[in-house]
Amino acid sequence: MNKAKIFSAIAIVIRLCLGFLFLYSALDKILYPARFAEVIYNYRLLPVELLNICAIIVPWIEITIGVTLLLGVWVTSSALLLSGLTVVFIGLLLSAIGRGLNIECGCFSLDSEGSLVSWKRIFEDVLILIGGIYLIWHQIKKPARLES
Amino acid sequence: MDGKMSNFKTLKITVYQTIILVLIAVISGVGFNQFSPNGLKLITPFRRLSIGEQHLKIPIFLSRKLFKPQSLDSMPHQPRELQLNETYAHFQNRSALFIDARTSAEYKAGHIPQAVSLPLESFDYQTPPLVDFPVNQMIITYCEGVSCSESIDLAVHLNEIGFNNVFIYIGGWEEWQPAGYPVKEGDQP
Repeated sequence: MNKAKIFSAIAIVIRLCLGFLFLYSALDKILYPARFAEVIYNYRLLPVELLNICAIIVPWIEITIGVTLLLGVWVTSSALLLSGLTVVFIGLLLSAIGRGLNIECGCFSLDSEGSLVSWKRIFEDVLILIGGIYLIWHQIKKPARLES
Repeated sequence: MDGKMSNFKTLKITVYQTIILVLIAVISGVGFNQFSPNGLKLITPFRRLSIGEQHLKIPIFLSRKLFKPQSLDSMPHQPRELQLNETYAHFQNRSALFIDARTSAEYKAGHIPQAVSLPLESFDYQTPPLVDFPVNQMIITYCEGVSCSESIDLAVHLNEIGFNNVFIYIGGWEEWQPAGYPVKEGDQP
């Protein structure tokens, strides 16, 4: 197996893992938008008026990323969006830790005690970010051709 | 030159595709929200509340179905602020129910004696707490100190579920403990 094939195989595994992860993360938030809006409120960063619209749209960005990654469509754009979103999440977590907030993360599900903001959550997000950057790198390295 | 042009074109397409993905997410999200039984109002409704110097906007997290415009009216008997000496007087007279809005771990490490632990994150409108108490029960909430907001949020929640005699001890644990007033450790009030 040559190097290029190994890199491609890694990219497929990362793409599928991240795809499933983002779909899974969006489920709770879509089912219980009011709970998710409250989680965002606890970060105390957004103006109160924008909490709902944010709680309505963010999970669907995750769904869009999940579906496109699983289907292998527009992978570069999807990975770019994933990386951007993850950078925002890392920023939010750092700011919450910096302010000593003991709040629910709202990262993957909405179960209060199990997923409080912590360095572990940041570590997970950094892994996701590395996955996203790998996908972008792999797509760009591919022989120059336009994506379908 | 051709390579550069092609790179530029690829980048342009990637940016366009990313924008389209975001648009798809926005349209799907707003569309789904319109039909979902748990759908929210797009702009978060809120109520104004003034506690001492602080002027707050308290968001109302109710689905569109449960939200009534009268929820926006200023709260009847809205929670008020208490100072240390007033709080201590109520503590001595046992005239109020003290509620610690911090986490269970913080409560365990030290709290005002008599205070019941009710961490803000455990508050649930579906299974409201303190159902055995009359609605005019005097309640004093507190959290860590002036910089925390759990006591305010909890007081607002308690007010929303019907309690009409709710106070917030703004100074909180950071003021009570150094003042030399009684404290208690463990998970019992």
